[in-house]
Amino acid sequence: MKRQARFEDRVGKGLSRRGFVRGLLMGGATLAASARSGQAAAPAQSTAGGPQKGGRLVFINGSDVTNFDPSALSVGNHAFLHQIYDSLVRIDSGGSGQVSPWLAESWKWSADGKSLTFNLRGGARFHTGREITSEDVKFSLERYKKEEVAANLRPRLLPIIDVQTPTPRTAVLALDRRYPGIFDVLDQFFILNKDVIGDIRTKAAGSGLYTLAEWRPGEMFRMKRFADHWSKDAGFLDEITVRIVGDPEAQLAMLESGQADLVYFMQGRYAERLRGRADFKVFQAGLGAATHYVMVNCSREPFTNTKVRQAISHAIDRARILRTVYPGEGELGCLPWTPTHWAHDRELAARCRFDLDKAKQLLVEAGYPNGFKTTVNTAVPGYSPGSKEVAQILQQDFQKIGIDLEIKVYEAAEARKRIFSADHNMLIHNYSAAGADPSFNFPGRSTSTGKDSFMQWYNSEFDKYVAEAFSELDREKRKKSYAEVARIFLDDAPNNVTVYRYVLSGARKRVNDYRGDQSGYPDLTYTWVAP
Amino acid sequence: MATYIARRLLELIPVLFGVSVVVFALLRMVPGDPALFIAGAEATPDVLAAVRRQMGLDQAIPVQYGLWLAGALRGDFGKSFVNGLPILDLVLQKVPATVELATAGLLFAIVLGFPLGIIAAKRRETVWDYLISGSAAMALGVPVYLLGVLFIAVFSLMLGWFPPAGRVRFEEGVDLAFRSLFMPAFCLGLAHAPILIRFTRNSILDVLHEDYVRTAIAKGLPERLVLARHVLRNAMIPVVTILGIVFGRLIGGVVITEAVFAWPGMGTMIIVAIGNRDYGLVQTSLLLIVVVFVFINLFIDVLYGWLDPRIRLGGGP
Repeated sequence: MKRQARFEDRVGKGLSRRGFVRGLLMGGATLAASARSGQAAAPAQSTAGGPQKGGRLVFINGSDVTNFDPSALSVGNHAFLHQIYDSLVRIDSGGSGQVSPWLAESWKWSADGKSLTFNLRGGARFHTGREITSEDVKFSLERYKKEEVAANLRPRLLPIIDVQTPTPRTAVLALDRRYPGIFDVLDQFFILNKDVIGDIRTKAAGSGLYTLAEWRPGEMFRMKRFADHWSKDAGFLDEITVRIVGDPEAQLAMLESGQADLVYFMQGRYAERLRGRADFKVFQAGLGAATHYVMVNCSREPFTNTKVRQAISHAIDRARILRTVYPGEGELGCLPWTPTHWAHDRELAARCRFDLDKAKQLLVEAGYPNGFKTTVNTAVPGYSPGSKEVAQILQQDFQKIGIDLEIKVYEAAEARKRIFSADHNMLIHNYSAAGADPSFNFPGRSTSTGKDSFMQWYNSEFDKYVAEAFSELDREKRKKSYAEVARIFLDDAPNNVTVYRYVLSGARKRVNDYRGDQSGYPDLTYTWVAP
Repeated sequence: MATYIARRLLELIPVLFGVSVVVFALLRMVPGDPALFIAGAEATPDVLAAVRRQMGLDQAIPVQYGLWLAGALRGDFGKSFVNGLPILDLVLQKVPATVELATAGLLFAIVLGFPLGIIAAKRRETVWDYLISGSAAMALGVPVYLLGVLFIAVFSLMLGWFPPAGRVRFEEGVDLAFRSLFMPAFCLGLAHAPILIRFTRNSILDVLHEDYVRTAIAKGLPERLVLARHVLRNAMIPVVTILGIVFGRLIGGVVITEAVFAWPGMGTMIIVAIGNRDYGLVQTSLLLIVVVFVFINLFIDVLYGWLDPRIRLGGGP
């Protein structure tokens, strides 16, 4: 019941950061209780007297749909993922890691932890009317793993080597290693209807609470409630219209004039304009959905020197970055996962201190008493929000310890190309889902070692602990391993997390119980509108 | 006239070929890889290579151009890299919205520009002239973006007269469609009217000094008739020419206006397509704009001849 309420920063209540974190934790506990009972989480209670069926929601997204294939997690696609498609399970987005049933009613690990059996819900149907079976789970997994499909989740699904289908309602996932973090992946692994897969780019192939009714590329798409969905206590809206409006001023104007009900992914300064106004509210979802960092390229001089990297780490004023670049948008960063996460370690997180004297001393020890000259790559706001402003803060502070930092700003496509080829000395960018299980992010190129690493970083000890934590089933043991992972990450300092941001969504007051998943992707499962 | 039109149409072929080569080459020269957009933020080199193969980007650039051109000649402009839809369908879906906005914007520019230009010329060096010419000079300096934001703040949020953004199609309701069109079109028209005001004013002032005008006045013709029969018709010739240029500028303005008012037209689509390096979509859209631009200018040339019978298109001494 409190699960959705915690995402909601109701106008005028002035919820403090600490209070918000406390709310998240309490929400996690409530969810844990609901999951233990084997039931999907109940709809949230609302200030307006409880969920009401019916009504139409106009949702604004800044980017157009890439296609209706849920394996593509582009921003334009976020709006339909949890609406048109169903996943086997749902996971708490607050960092507790608590799993809730969805298409799968229950699951069981094998004794060796290398096999996971899901019992599928009876009566769950695709929008075409056909019942969902374990064969559909198998088909979906095989499709997600194809290289040419380029599914974002592919690296995270590779440990699943096969899906066995002993009965139509039993799917057994065979794993090449123990994989306790698998549920975070399965939350965004959507079951596809093979009968209509050929048209998936334009017509969708799902079984979710809403069906695709109309699509006008670059303009809008409309979803209607799926009357035959198995869940009868969710999917309250009759219709959701997603309109594509790129300009943030136009988005805000549409919200203020009543032309729209909710704006997804609102920049902090626009959300600020809604706070304190009686007719509006601001929802915060998915802490760490954008996790901002200052990265160095460990293969380039002088960043091959660990002390130089540590000096950089101490010369980053995270508090100033949060205060001036992302005010009201998130929390101070340090570890690769968020402060609300079960793997969080308070002592380690305290090590991310801004200390220019220490930075200067480390530079002297590294053999750079007079500093050096280098460049930092940033990108336009649409691709990497705030990166240029963060670079300007670094430029000022670095100057005090003799580092002459030149700021490069790239347009989105060029920035993307340079990141992928690790063509940077320093890089300011972000990765997503720091609220997810760490195993979700450590195949990521922003946080991992090896030749594909954006940091061009190699550390066998780090790899050992990542592998150890990945396959350990005991949560406490995993926590210890991830503490080692975080310690090495901080000691070696290839990448410095600065800020964990929420996804901020501005809405009219009549919108209730909107939430985001752990990546901040919209989840309208229990959303309803007051008449 | 028919020969002239036919010749101009034939001239279109090398123009389009040239434009297609230039646009194709420019897009490939711009840094950025469309496969990265499709493959996503965490794609490994293997996945990227597979996506590039699928998109045909692993082939040599001349081969890519040849394949695109061969398809285009058959009327097949390929599919969007991003959503896989046929490019021609995507472009044609956006044409009505842009044509609607550009036409309405041009109409506003004409409705505002011509009468005000005439008044400024007729009352030259009076308060009216200074007011109109001064306002036109100021309006010329205001960016369309700023104008749009101000309009939304005043007419939509404060007064609530018009919706702040979006397009309502005429089949969904004529009244709503007009209300959604009015503000972006007026904003576009207002941004381009100053050019017409200045040209109309100057052109009329030039004609007023011609001998035939002086003769007509000396004959005792009423001022209104002199203005209508002798001055305006001759003064309109350079103004009509400038309409072609205004239209070109207006196309640029449409792109920004569409963004400010969330108008789902070609401008917005092209900007997004450039960002995504959706090569085929950008190429086809720009080719279409060139075709329209050439046809508009052809139409203006024909109109030019109608306004001034002395001009013999394609002939002459």
